[in-house]
Amino acid sequence: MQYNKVRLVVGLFVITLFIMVGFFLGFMLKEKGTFDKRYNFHFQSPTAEYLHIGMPLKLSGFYIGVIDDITLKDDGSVVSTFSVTQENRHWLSEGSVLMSIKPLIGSPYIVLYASLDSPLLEPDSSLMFIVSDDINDLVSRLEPAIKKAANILNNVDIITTYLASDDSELKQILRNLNTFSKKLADNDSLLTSMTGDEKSTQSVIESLHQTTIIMKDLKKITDDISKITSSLDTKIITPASSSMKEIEGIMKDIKLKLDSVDGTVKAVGAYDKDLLELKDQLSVGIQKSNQLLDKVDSIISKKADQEVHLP
Amino acid sequence: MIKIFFALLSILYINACSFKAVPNEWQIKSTTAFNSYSQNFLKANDVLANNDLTRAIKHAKQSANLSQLGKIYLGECALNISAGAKNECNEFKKLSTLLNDKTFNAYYSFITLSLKPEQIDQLPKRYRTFASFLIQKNFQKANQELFEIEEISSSLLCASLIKEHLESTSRKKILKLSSFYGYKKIVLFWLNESKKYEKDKSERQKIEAKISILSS
Repeated sequence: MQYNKVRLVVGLFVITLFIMVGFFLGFMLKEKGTFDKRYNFHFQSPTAEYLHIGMPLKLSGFYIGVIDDITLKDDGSVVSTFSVTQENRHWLSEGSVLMSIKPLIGSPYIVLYASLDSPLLEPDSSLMFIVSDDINDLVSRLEPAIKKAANILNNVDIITTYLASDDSELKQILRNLNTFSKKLADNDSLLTSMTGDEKSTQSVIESLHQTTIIMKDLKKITDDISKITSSLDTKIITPASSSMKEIEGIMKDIKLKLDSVDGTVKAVGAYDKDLLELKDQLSVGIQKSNQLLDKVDSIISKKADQEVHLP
Repeated sequence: MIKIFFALLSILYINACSFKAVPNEWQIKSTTAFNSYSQNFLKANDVLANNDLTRAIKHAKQSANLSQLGKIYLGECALNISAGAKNECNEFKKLSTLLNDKTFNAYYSFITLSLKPEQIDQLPKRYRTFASFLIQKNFQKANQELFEIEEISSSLLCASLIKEHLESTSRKKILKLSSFYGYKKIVLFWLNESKKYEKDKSERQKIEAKISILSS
């Protein structure tokens, strides 16, 4: 009797639970608008690019509908069907226009431009559809600026080419400056007009001559040194250099051998590392299996002895 | 069927909840591993035996209490002697100074045949009578006494200690006993011993054939 009572209580509880769950699910679906009546409308577009089923329909930034179907017609155009709820049905009036927006960032969507004063549009009616391409708009807006920039670059190129040419004014100015400076150096009257004193001019010219003589002497000395060093090179350095060449050859040979040894050592080192890794892994595996064995031993042993019994 | 399944599940759950690790788990694990080693060693499962011994030693080394480790070394030594192997218990010798346990030292002296009369009392009870006959060199009595010991491993150890003085009947009895328990290592040892003392050529050939079969 008691058992039947328990069964009844459990049964009631389960039934109540199911009812509650069903009610909750129904409530959720109702709130989500699953059972609301929806009104279908259509629009035609030349392409289904950027359109997809489930694409939202917005009005003033709010979601009011969604594209339910997209079909290709025999003439190649595309007919899309979207639906709105009873609540949003009043936005769709005669003269309303749909515009596809493709933002630079984010997924595309459709905006409804409602004509509020006009009478309501009948379900299954068609709306006008306009494509607005933000990316292409941006490109078209940038096009004049890019053209201007290209012109500027062309002009800069022309200017630089002209400046670099031999008959350019800049080059002529430079040549004139060079001639003037030479004349200034050769003509002491000019120098005198600059220094304002003939004696000073003479002393400058003398010191310049002196400098020239000193420079000539220096050149001679360096030539002599060069001769001495070249004679040393043939008489002393050359015999030694043959021995040096031999040593160099030996050293190169040793280097080559060392390089090959180095490669071998590195390769062996790599194997060694691999082996060590393998050894570590094996060690871990063994330890794990030992732990497992300990557990198995403790399970199969009849009693947990604490002390070893000697034979 | 479902009721039985749920009942079993509940029992398992309760059992799992009630299981609690003991603090001296190392000691239990070490002992269990050593017991497993003893069996595997006697049955000539050498790979398993080595693994068991390694684990037993490893667990024993978890603690600063070295008596467990000392017992393991002594036990290993005794088992090797039972199987006729020469073992000087070097590992135990290294530990003995640290342990300074009279019972361990007595046992060590007993298995290495260096027992002194005053150490008899420190031996496990089952060996005392046998040990006294051994010291007196009364091998006839010792032959009888070794079969009076209850534990088979102890009888095998005693038989091995007096192998040169073992009677033919005792040898056969030991062989029969170890064969019954399936202690292959001991069987092979006593077959070799029997071959050594067997004078009959055909009997010797039979023993050789048995050894060959068991060894292959």
